[in-house]
Amino acid sequence: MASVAIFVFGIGNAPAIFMVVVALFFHMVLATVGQIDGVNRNLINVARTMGASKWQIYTRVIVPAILPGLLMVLRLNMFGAWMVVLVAESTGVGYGLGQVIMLARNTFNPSLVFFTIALIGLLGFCSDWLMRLLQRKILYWVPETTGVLRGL
Amino acid sequence: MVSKPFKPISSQDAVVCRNISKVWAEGTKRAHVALRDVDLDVTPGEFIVLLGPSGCGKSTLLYLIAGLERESGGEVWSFGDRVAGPSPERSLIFQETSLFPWLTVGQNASFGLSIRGESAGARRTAAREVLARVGLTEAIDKRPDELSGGMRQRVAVARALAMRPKVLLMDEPFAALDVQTRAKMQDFLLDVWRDSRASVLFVTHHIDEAVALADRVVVSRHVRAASRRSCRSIFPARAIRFPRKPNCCAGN
Repeated sequence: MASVAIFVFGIGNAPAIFMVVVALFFHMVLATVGQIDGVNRNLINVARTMGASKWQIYTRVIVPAILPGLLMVLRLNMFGAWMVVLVAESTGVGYGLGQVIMLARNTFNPSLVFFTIALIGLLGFCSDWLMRLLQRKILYWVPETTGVLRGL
Repeated sequence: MVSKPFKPISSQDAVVCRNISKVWAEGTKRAHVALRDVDLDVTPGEFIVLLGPSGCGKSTLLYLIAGLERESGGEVWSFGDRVAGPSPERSLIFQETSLFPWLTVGQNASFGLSIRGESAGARRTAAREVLARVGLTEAIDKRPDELSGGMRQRVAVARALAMRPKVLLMDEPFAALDVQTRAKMQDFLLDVWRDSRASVLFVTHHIDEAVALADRVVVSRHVRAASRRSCRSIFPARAIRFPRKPNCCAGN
C-alpha cells in the first residue's frame, strides 16, 4: 500500500495522510453504523411518541447515545493511525520518527533505534491520556469506573 | 362467519380498534401473525388492563395504538382520527427504564417540551410541576442512574404526563420491580390516573395486578396450533368488568 501511495502522491505528507484515511476510514464508518444499530429502541420510540422529527431524533437521542462508544472507537483508531503514520514515514514521507528509525537502522545505531521506539511509545501514551481526559469531560453522565478499572 | 354488528366510530372514543391484525416480517419466510381481528373500544378516562401470556400480542397492540408500528389490516382510531403515526396524545411507557442517561431528571421530564422548542424557563416550570405530581420534586437535578428502579419509572410517568396525553399506554411498566415497590406504584398510578383523567391501557401478565387496577380487564387467549409459525392469539377472548368501589383507593 505504501508504494501505491507514493506512486500516486509522490514523496511528502500526502501519501501518509492517504494511508491513514484508507486504513481507518472504513473501520470508523462500520463502527459508527454498528453503534447506531445498537441504540436502545425504547429511547428512539420515546422521542417518536413525543413528536420528534428525524433530525431531532438524530441530534437529541442517537448522537448522545453513541458518543461513549464512538469515543472509544476514536481512541482505538488513534493507535491505528499512529502506527500507520510511522509505517508511512519509514517509507515515503522523508522525515519523521519512522524515518529516524530507518536511518538509525541503516547506520547501525541501535541506541537511537531504541530511543526512538521509546519516544514513539511515550507520545502514543500521552495522546491516549489526552483522549481519556477529553472523554471524561464530554461524557459527564457515564459513571466513573470502579476499583481495578479506574482511569481506563 | 358471524358478521359483527357495525358500530360507528365516534370522536368521543379514546381508542377504537376495528378488526386489526398484525403480521410481523410480512411477506417473508419468517412471517408470523401476532394479532388477528382485534376489536377494542376504550372510552375516555377508562382504565383497561390487557391480560394474557407472554408473546400473545399485547405489546404489539400497544405499539399499534401508539402509532409506532403500522397495522397489517384493520383500522385504529383515536378521538375521531385515524392513527397514522406517533402522537404526543398517546404516550407509551416501557417495561425497562427508558430515561435518557445524559439528561437530568428534570430535563428528562420536560424532554417532550424541548422537542416542541419551548423555552428553558417554561420547561423547568413544567418539569417541577409534573415531578411534584409523582412525588420526586427534590430529585429534579439528579441523574437517572442515581435513582432506584421505582423512582425511574415514576420519572417516566412524569415525562409522559408532561405532554398531557389523552391516552397512557403502559407496557408492563412495573414488571422489573420488586413486589412491595410494585404495590406502591400501583397505588401511585391510580392516583395519577385519577387526576389526569386520561384513559389508560395497561399491559401485564399478572392477574393480581390486573384485578387491582382495572375498570375492565381484557383477556387474550393464546392459541398454539400444530405449526409454531401459526401461533396466534385471539384478542379479546373475554372482557371482564370490575365495578370500581368509589372509595377503594381515594383518600388513602
